[in-house]
Amino acid sequence: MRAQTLRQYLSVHTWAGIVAGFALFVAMLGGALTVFHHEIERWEQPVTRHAPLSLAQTEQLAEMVRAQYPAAREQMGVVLPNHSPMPFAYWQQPDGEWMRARLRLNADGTASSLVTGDARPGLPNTVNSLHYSLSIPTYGLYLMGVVSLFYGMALISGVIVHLPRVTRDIFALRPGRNLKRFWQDAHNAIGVLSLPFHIVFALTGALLCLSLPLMMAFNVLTFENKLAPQFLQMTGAVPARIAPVDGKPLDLQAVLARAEHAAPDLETTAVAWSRYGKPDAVAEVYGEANDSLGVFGAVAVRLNDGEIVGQHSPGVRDTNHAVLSMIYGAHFGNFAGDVMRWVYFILGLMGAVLVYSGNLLWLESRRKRNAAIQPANLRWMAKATAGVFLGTCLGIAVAFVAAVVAPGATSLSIFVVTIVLSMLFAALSAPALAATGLLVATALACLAIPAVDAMFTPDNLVRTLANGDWVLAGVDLIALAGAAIFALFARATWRRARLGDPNSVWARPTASAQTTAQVMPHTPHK
Amino acid sequence: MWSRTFAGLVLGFFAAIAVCGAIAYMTPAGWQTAAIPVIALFPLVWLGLFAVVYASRTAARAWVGIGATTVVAWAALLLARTVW
Repeated sequence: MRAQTLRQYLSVHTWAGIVAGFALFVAMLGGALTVFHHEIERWEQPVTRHAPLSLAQTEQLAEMVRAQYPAAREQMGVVLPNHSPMPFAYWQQPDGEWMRARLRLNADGTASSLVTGDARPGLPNTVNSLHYSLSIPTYGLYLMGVVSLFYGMALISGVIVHLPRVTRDIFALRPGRNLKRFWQDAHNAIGVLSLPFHIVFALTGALLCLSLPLMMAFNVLTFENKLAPQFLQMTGAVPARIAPVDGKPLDLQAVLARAEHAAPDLETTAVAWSRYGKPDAVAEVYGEANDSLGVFGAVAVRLNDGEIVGQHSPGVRDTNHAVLSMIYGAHFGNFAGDVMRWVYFILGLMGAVLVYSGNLLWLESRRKRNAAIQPANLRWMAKATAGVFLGTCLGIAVAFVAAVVAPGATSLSIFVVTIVLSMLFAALSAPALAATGLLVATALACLAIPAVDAMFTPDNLVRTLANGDWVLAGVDLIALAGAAIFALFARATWRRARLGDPNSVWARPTASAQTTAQVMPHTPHK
Repeated sequence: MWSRTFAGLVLGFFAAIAVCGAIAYMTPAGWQTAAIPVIALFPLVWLGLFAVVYASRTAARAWVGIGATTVVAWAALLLARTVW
């Protein structure tokens, strides 16, 4: 390939990576943790850790919502207790607003009232919404879809740029004085080795985030407005028209029994009712089948007599449903049991390292070799890298601590306050100080996770390990591993600040350099 | 760079959506049975065309190349829509 073309792709790679990098890091880190959504959900709610709500209580929740909110009779879903220890109901109000409700539990485990609205988005939901929308309402989803496209572009151009040298350098990891080469080796190795998964993440991520705009574009441009009316039938299990029957709506247990009879391999996770109480009422039962890439399936049960009116599950569905389910399965990584979930967790973390190392490379390849004070754009990029990337790590770790210490506070506000403070700290201090300080803080916050678990809940790591409760122990153990890793990073960063090349944005600011900076605010390094 | 990016962004989008639509119409059981698969294919085709644009020697060639692709893709879509 011509050198000019290669340079072209290199700059596409660099700019796609830099523009999308900050959002992409949050997406990767949040996505890795979201793999263990249900485990974290169990950990963060000490009340229901050992006594999840029952199916009867879930039905009680649905009945209370229907009684208080007539709109919920038209359309409402609940997550089942085997999928979430604290099931919640969701529905849309007549003004279009999505509502959520869960039971307010009394001390004796009974419930008499509802908690509605997103009064306290829990920890796993906060992490998940950071993952798919940066927690920005409405437009965050589309933003992350665009970020996924940038990510895809960075992958394609990265492969084109690095492929010629990949066969030679793939397993080369050359630590030593040349830090740029070390980071380059690490970046390339991670990128190339996990490339198939990254392609899957980028494509399915773009599809999941942009499904609505894409569907509208296809509807208008290619399918002559015939796609939109059929889209629900193409993606859901409920047929367009259901023959009405008289009768009383079946209860939750009976609906689940019918669905499980029709699709024995499906482990049910949620139920959505439509037109509850009407003759054509229907309940759509969602579930996961573990032995298929398209794990997600659904069964539609006519509510008044239990007749199966629609079904799509592995083996019983058309191409549209199969592909859709595969998109979900490939993105969520729950198609091959716990082993694949761990693989996805590691891949997500590696993806975060990939993005982070990309930023470090950007800085390394632009620094001035013979200047104590680096150009302002480099210093600010280094500050932003420390503040946003490491601030995200700190924010999530602090949110874990706060979930147990201050269960009344919302996880999102804890995260936002932490990351804003991190960014302020990074803006006001030298990059080396900011990075080291934030890494130390994150290590301490990770260390605090098992500590507060032991102090504020009846459980602790020793007890959960002794009981073989790997879900609860796992959260604490990963936090400890995180503390060790962040501490090592902090040590390396600080060593570099003191002992490394003094002509770097990551060097510790010396007294003389600071004086120079004050005397000459506009250093002549343009 | 900007010129190529714009070409890939806009013309690449229209070329890719037409290619995917044409594929849907050409499947034996009708486009309804292939709508989701071709929508799933779309980002890959778009990014692929987008990436190829940067390989051209000059920006003008990039515009001619992606422009021709778009015209062919739309011809294929309209043809597939009327014939099948």
